[in-house]
Formats: sequence, structure tokens, C-alpha cells
Amino acid sequence: MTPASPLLHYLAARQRDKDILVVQSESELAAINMVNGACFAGVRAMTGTSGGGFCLMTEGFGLAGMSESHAVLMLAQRPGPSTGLPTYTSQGDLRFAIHASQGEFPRLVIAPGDVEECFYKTIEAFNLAEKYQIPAILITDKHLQESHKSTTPFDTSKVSIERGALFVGDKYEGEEEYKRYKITENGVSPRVLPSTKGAIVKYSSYEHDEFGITTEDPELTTLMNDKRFRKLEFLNKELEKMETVKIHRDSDADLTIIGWGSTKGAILEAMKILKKENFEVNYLQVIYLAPFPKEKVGEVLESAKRTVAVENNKTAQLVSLIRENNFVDVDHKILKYDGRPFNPWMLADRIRGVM
Amino acid sequence: MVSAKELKTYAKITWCPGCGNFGIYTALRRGLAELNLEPESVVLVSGIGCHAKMVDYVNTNSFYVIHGRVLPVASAIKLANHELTVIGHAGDGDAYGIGIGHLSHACRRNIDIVYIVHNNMVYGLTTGQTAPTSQQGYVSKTSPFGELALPINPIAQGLASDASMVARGFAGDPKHLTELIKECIRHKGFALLDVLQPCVTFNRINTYRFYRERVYKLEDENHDYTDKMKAFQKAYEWGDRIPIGVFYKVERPTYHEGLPQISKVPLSRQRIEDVDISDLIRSFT
Repeated sequence: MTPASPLLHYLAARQRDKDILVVQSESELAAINMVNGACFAGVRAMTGTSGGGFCLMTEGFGLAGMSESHAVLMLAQRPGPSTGLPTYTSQGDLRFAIHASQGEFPRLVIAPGDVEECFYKTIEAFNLAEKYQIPAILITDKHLQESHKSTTPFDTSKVSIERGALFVGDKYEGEEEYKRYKITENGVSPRVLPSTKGAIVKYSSYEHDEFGITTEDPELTTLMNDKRFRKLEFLNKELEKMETVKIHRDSDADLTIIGWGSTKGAILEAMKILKKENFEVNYLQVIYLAPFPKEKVGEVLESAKRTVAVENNKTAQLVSLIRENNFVDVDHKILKYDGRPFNPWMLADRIRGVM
Repeated sequence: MVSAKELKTYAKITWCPGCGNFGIYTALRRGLAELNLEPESVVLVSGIGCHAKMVDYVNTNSFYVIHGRVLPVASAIKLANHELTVIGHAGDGDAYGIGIGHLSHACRRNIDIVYIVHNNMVYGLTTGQTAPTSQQGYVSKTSPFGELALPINPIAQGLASDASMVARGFAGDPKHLTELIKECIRHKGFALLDVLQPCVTFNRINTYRFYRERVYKLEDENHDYTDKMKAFQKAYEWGDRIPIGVFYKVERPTYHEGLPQISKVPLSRQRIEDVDISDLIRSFT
């Protein structure tokens, strides 16, 4: 779905050389569930869509949450609701991504800010999704998806593929019978590829016991919820060491800009314009929106003199997340919700307006 | 080799006594055992409904998915590891109601899986509402004055969507059904197997007796299952006589056979840790 389609075009053309498999599914309902099926079979799988398609994908996204499938989804935002402005840009789906699906389960929502981050953060999303067996959303938008930009070549020596607890072999010889949803200390149950002798692999959308068989037992239901959420504690510890926010700081500036996603380009350019006029500003770029890096965001907010949020939406959705997680408000908001991205000169003007 | 009995799990069976699902359960386990399939090489995928409990009761790999989405999940499992035997189970609501949009696409792609539809012509798990296959005039909580619409014709749907195999079984004849299931598994390509499954609690019309008085076997009348037009004629035969057996079966290339990247090793068995994409990065410079 526009503006996510270029991802499909690019991968489809390279599938034979790179041993990947690309299917143009009949619908978003099929796409996300094909991803779930592929995860079950043991491969990495991804789908891409925009808000309208993501509406259809929410049921399958929840299935990934319950079945503990490492589904990865690229959500390229455009203005809604409904058809909205289908070929323009927006950051209106952040809350939607964070809350999509019924029920409660851990998920990753990651917002790369430019082409380079799209590369590195996509690999991170796949690694973390597979290690913690949780679904991940890469949230982008039309502006980031369909813009051309020069950048330094990506350094593949900086990245590695980490698949987590996955048994690959012909025969499973555990101490006990294989249990897909074994309750473990960190909540992650080791995976075994279906077709491995000695292991029966049962995934389920229903609440289930360790083997994967349906249960409605209250104690087991509690245990399984706790197991799924225990992964978050360990994920958060790992994220502490990772770049979940970026602090673009020149000085002890009077003003700190807070933003996420594709506004990065315009914000950095606006900062350059303002610097020429001797206006110094800092910029906090929040990259991980779920789990929310509240300690790192909190540190910046505590030392910031005045804050201004820059978002391509009507309701300042990042600001609401900061309020929810850090119990503080942002002083000013610069919002744009006309389907167009910020341009550096107009953004610099609006920043001057709050200084 | 595992016997039909060994294919049971510890899960307590909660189908109503006499439920048509028992016949399908027996036939499936017998079919798998008679084909000497290892439980680890089989994947069952179910939707939501009484039929779906099947995956809890059969000791093979399985994925209990959501209402209507059996085919996308089952298709992807097959494509990610085509060495697995993948069998989808769906109810008539799953298959011909909420999930009917996926049926034509799985058929036209000719994904090499079996799709067993437990067709009881009523929503059983949710206590008896009208289903897409309920007969016209069917009275239920949701159609108290009789269903106005015509029912979906599963066999004609499969034929019109170019399924490479279309068959119908009867849960009250597990012996015949076992043979049909085996034939569907052996078939290279997409096999739609609609099963007439009496719901003894909520459907008082389409009972065991109703079917026993009407069903006849296509193979007993020398039906030519390679002739699509004859298959269509049989698909519309519903009344005093109801045909069961293979309506249509032809061989044509399956979807995964058209994918050179998985011709040697299934996708799920390919190592990804040392994949090299430096040429793709260079292509931008």
C-alpha cells in the first residue's frame, strides 16, 4: 500500500539473487498472516503497509503477540483517517502502532529518522524481534520512504544477525519433551524449527499451556501473561546499552527540540540556520517509542531549559507519550498536519517564534 | 512410524457426543498413520470454531490461528519449508465466510497444501447462528424467519478458482474420508476437501440420517474427475442425491516449484548469519 510499495518492488527484484522469497499477497490480512506462518516455519519475515493496511493487519499483529512470533512490520504513515491524503506524509499513527490489537503484549516500535537509520534500525528490529520473540514495527512515513538522499555507504561490519534461542539441527534431544512455550526465567522459550525430529512444535492464538495446548485455567493464564511480559525486563536492560535516543547537542542551549522519525532532516537543517544567527538549540531524537526509553528521555528533559516538540501530526503524540512515561509536559509544540513535511526555513521561523 | 492412536494428545476432548468432528479426527489420524508420515513432518493449521480444537487433539506440529486466516498462514508455512506436509482445517464460517477471500488465491497459486473444511452449515461453537453454507430457509437465532440468501457452493467455488483438486467427504463415513484425506495429501497442489459434518446440537436439518439417505460416491458412478465441466455439473447436484468423492483433480506446477531460490534447500533450512549484501550497497555508489 502506498507509500510502502517501494519496499516490495526493491525486494521482489532481488529475491532470486539473495535467496529471499517475496509474495504479493491478496490483502493486508493475508500479508501479516503469511508473516506469522513464515515465523512459525522458522524464517525471518516482514511486511510493509500504511495506516489503512495496518488497520487490517492489527488482528494478525495480535496473533504474533500471542503466539510469540517475531513478525516485523514497516508502517509508512500517510495522513488519515481513512483514505485521507494517500500520497502525502504524516506522523499520525504513533499511538496506533503502540496500541494496535486487543489485549496486552510486549512489542517494539522503532522510528528511524533517515536513510542510514532505516538500514541499521531494521537490522536491530529483526534481531530484537527474534531474540525476544515479539513483533516489531518500524514506523516511517511517506517523506522518509519516498525521498532520495545521499548518504555514506552502510557499513555491514557494524551489524550482525542474532537469532536468539533457536535450535537448528536434525534431531532435538532435550532433557525433557520439547515445549514451545516453556516458562523460563527471562520469558523467552527456545525455538525449534518445525520438521526437527523429536520435537512437536505447537503455536497458538489461544491462551495455552507450555506445550501449546489451549487452556482457560486462571493460574496458567496469569503465568503465561507474566512470562510474556518478563521479556520486557530483559529487553529494557539490553536497550539501555543501545542507541534508543540520539542527542544532537552543540552546547548548553536555551531550547531543546524533541522529535521522532523523519522530521530529523528538517530539524538538523533548521538548527544550522539558527546557529548562523547565534541561536543555539539542542535536539533530542527519540528512536525507540516502545519500549519507551523514559530514563534517557528523562535525563535530557531534566537538564533542558525549555523544550519544544516538533511533530508532523495534529495531536502531538510523542508529547503525550512523554507525559505518560515521564510525568512532565513539553513547553511548546510545533505541529504540522497538512500532509507536507517540514521544510528547514519554515521550521527555523517557527522555532524562532518560541525562543 | 506412529499409529493413529499415538497421534492423540493429553488434551481433553470437548466436542459434543456424536459430533461430526470425531469422524474427521479419526480419519485424519488414520490417514497420517497409513501414509507413514512422521508427526514432526506434519503441520496442522486451524481457524476458530469447534473444528479448531482438532489441533489440540492431534500430536503433530500445529498453529491454532485466528478466524478466517488459515490459508495465508498455511501457505507461508509451506513456502518457508516445502518439505512439511501442511494441512489447514477450517469451519464453514472460516472458509466460506470471513476467510473466503483467501480461498481463490490459494487455489490459483496452487499452494501444495490440503484444506479440510468442516462444513456443518451452522455456527456451532457460538451456539447456532446461520452460516454461509446454511440452506436457504434455515431457521436460527440470526435468521428467525428463515435465511433469505442462497448458500455458498464450496465445490463450485473451488472449481471456479482453479483448485487443482476438489473433493467432498462425509464425516459419517470415516473409512471413505480416510482415503480422501490420503488422496488429498498425496496430491501435488492445492486440495480443497469439503466435509459434510453433522452438528448434532445445533443443526437439526443436516443430520447423519439426512446425509446417509442421500450421499453416493462419485467413484461408484465412474465420474471423470479430469473433466471440469462434468465436475461443475456434479457440484450443483444437491437434493435427493448428494455426491461425495473426488470431483476434480489435475496436475499442474505448484507455487513453490516456480521458486529457484528454494529449489535445493527449503528457505527455513538456509543459513542467514553470513549473508552478503555488500554488492547491493555498492550498487548505489
